Amino acid sequence: MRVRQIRDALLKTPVGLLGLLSLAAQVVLSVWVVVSYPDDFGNRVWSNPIHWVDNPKAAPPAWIGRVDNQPRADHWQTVRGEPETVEEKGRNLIASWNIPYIVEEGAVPAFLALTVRDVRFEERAPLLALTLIRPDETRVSVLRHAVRGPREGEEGPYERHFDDPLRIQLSADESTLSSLQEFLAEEYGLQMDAEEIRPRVMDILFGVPDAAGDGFAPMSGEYTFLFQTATRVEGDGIGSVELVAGGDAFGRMGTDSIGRDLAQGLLYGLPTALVIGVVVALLSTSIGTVLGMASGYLGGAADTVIQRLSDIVANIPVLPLLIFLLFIIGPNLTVIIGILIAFSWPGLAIQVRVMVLHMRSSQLIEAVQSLGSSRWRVMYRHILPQIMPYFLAQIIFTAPSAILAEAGLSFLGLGDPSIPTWGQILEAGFRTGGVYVGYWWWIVPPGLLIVLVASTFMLLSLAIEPVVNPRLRQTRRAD
Amino acid sequence: MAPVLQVRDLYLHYADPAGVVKAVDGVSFELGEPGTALGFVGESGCGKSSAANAMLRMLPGNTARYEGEVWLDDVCVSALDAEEFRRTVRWRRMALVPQGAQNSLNPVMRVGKWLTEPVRQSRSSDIAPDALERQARGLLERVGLPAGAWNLYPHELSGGMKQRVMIAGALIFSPRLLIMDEPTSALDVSVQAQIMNLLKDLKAEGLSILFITHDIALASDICDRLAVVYAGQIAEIGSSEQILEQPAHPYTRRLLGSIPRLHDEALPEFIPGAPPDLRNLPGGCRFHPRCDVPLAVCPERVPVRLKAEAGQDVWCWLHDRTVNQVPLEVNSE
Amino acid sequence: MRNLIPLAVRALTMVGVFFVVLLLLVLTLGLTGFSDRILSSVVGEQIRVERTTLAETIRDPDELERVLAARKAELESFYGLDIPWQRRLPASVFRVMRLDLGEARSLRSFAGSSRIADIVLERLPNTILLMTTSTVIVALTGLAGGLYVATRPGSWIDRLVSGLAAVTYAIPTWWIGILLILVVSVHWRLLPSGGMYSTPPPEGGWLRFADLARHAVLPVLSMVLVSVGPYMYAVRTITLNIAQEDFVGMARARGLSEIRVRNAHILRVAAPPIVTGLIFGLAGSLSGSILIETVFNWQGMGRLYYDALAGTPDEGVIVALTFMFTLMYVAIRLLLETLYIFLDPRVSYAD
Repeated sequence: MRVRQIRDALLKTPVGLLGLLSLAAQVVLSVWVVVSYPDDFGNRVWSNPIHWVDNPKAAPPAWIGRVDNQPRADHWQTVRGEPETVEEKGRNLIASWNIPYIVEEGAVPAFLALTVRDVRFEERAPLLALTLIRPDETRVSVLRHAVRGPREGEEGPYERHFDDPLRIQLSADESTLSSLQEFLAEEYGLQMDAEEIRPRVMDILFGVPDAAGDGFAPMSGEYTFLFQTATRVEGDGIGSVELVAGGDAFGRMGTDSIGRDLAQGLLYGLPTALVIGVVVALLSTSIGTVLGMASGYLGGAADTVIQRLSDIVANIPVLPLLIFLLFIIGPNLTVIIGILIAFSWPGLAIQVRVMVLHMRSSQLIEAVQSLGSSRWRVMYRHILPQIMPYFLAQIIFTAPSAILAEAGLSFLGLGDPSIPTWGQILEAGFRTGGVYVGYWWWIVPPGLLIVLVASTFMLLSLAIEPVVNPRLRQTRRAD
Repeated sequence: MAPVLQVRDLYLHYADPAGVVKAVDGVSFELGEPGTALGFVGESGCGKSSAANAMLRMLPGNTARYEGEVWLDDVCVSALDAEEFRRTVRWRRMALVPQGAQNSLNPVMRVGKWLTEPVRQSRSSDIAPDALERQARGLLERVGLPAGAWNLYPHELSGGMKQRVMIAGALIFSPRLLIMDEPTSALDVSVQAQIMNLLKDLKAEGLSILFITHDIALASDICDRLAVVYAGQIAEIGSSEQILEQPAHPYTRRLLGSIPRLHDEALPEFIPGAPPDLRNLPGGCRFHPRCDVPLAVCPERVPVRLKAEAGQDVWCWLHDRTVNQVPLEVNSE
Repeated sequence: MRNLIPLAVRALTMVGVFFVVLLLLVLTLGLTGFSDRILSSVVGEQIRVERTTLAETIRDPDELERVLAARKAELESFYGLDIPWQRRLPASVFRVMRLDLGEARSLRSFAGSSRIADIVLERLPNTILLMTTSTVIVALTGLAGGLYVATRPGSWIDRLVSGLAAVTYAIPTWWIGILLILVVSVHWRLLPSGGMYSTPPPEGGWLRFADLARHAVLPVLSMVLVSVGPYMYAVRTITLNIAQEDFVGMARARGLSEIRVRNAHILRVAAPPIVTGLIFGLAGSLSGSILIETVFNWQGMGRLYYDALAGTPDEGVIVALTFMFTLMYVAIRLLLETLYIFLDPRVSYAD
């Protein structure tokens, strides 16, 4: 068996080619992810709830609407900087932003949130107001908010919400509730108390009372958000205003229960999985080969020690010990990789030793040795090349089990929190009960991706199996 | 009296991705009186072992063509259906000592059990267990194995011992015919001699032997008659003396010439060219590309059975006076 | 007699595994100070118990404190807390072996005990139940399927099994479990999504058993689905390889019937490597059961791992579990190795 045969098996069989193409695509995607994702994605972005606050929670992927034809609001988000108009009104300067928003048939958004950043003023704090102008020309005053004025001992100019944006969840805001109460009474003569309104804020904002009088029918059409600030002095004002209408569906892969964009996490998991698989496979296989060669070639006490050790390590029940060690040392990807390596080498060490023993007694090796080649030279020049194919095969065999092991550990809650992996996404989906309420988009894709990456390596090993184990190639039934 | 064994037009072809392997291609011969031995001699890969398998109907899964008649004591055993052949002929009347006895014993079965298994499994035999054991132990003693071998596993036996167990096993039903496929090729010379002596004794007791080997000298030691096999066919058949002293086929001559001899000036000659590929055989006489005296007719027509001497038949156009004896012109490109 | 030497070698290896793991546990615990904490909690618990009894006889609070402090020092020296952990190593090994690891922080046994040994041991039968059931099913179906497929090499069903083996090797068992919950329990509402009994559990032996069986379907199914393909493939490959051996052809040449050839020659010789396959499969199913118990809230030792890791970690429980799993693994391995060695007379195979 030669390395060349393995190369042929990979390049010239459909299975091998499929595996290689799939692996190549994964590597390219991984490189893109590593280059384009921010450093410290795990801590700063993924595990940071603030980052995901404007996303809908536990929303299915946006394309689901095309599958089940249910009306769903798309997730809508817009940021505006400079006001469109500024006019003087009495002692105030009124700056206005007109932000159009379209509601499709039956697709009322899940929530409404307003974020205002970088408020600056000289003396008097600006007043903020948001009005919703609806398709039927009715106007709902959604919010009136006064930015916090000067504190005792504070000197102007004053800055507010530079580091902590002012975020108001309009669908749950008390002042919105009372505005709506007023609006319903004036416009439709409906008397509802705050507790009645609270659960149907969005229905009221984007609908009209239905004929039966006990509910609200969605009103589709073009809405406009009119956002205004009232300031005293020129130069006072806000940096930006952001409006979010939460969708019932989000992005390519949906979101989890704290609104994380699963597509981002899933993509980020790819390079991590590949690195775990390849690093563990490469290092453990190298260790196994070196120890196996040493054991077979040196013989004597070294052989005995290495073989006994391999025997013991090969027979240790790995997962319980992994759990224990990770629990003690702490969840850290490097530690996970290190422990996986420490438990993956013995199989090859035993196998390589047997091969070296065979080769050592071969005529070629004996001849080379009698010509005075040094031990290490013989190992390097004559024995290593013959072991190479097994080395490569073993790398391919080991990689998927390392990936699965990390996923399993992550699922038990022992994953490295600073580096999100598919196992951790699954763990979150399981721990928070996403499984039991049928959040399939949270559960199915990460598992599928684990299977995809692991089975890519399985395809490769399937392709090279006839080379490594030629007896299986022709199996004929006798008689 | 009918001959012990008669084989007529035996064919065994295998299907192979690269073409049809014509391992046995129209073989006919007979083995006369009881207590005689016929040698099947030829280079490796010429189809000798396939002929043995064909006679025992041991057919691999990729068999493409299997036909011919096998007569054992006036009974056409090839006409029996598979199950009957198994129950009445195989091992009972025709037993095989295979090539490579090293792996022919079940690794997890003790020798005694293995030896008596076919009898114990046989529905037709009603021999008492202790009588069977006595008989089997007698056979072990006969082939020169210590009594203790009875309880051993194959991995505890040497190569020679395994070969003897195989022979003892083949004799358990006291068959009429023993087919021995290279029975000694893996053994060292002293063991080989012991086994040859054993075979001679068995022959003297009336056992007929088909002795398959690549070693023509060894074959002549025990065989009364020899058949020289080339590319799935018999090239020449005759008494051992005739084959050794006056070979009629050019291939036999080259085969004899390739044996190194003591006290001989002539160096052993090798046969030019490679043994033919059974998937892709030359037309006409299959030996003609390697023959040193080919005729013009040889590539054209398949030779027929011709009488060279009384009791010596040869498949070679050199012996047909009705054929134009013009040598083949060799293109020396 | 001949068989005892390889058996002894295997036994020695497994004992080696056992002690290496044990030593690793104790060393890690000592180095990280966990061992001290466990012992302190043992002492603390004992003092608390004694305080209530002593409080009835000693009225003076200062006197009580003094007596208790002396008692505490006595206990600490008894448990070796006054000497460095290295010197306590043998005692610690012994302590782990007896599961004498004190009290759990928040976990309780079903009966309410907080003794770690109680908590862990009462879970053992549940784990064994789940593992044995699925292993037996895998072994039986894998054996039957593998042997059947071996009679048809190259057929579509053969290729299906090979493909299945490769694919299932790449699927995490626990994910299959979650998918089954998602589809069978949540979407179809056919089977319970977790636990071992309904609440409240039905009365009566048979009803109770049926309830348990209903709860076991999905966890067992997930473990079987993932393990059966590779095992079937292994059985098939081993059988096919042996069917090509000379002695099988020879068995046919000796006029034996096909049934006899298959049973006495192919299967009998295939048995030892098939048992080996099962041994290796077992390592996988051990890990698999930890995760599957977690997914299905099966009240075994595997789920206990998850519970001990979540929230305030219960390190004593984790140590006990790691030890118990190792012990279980070593015991099953030894059992199967013994079986293997008596199946295969070839001594050389054993080492």
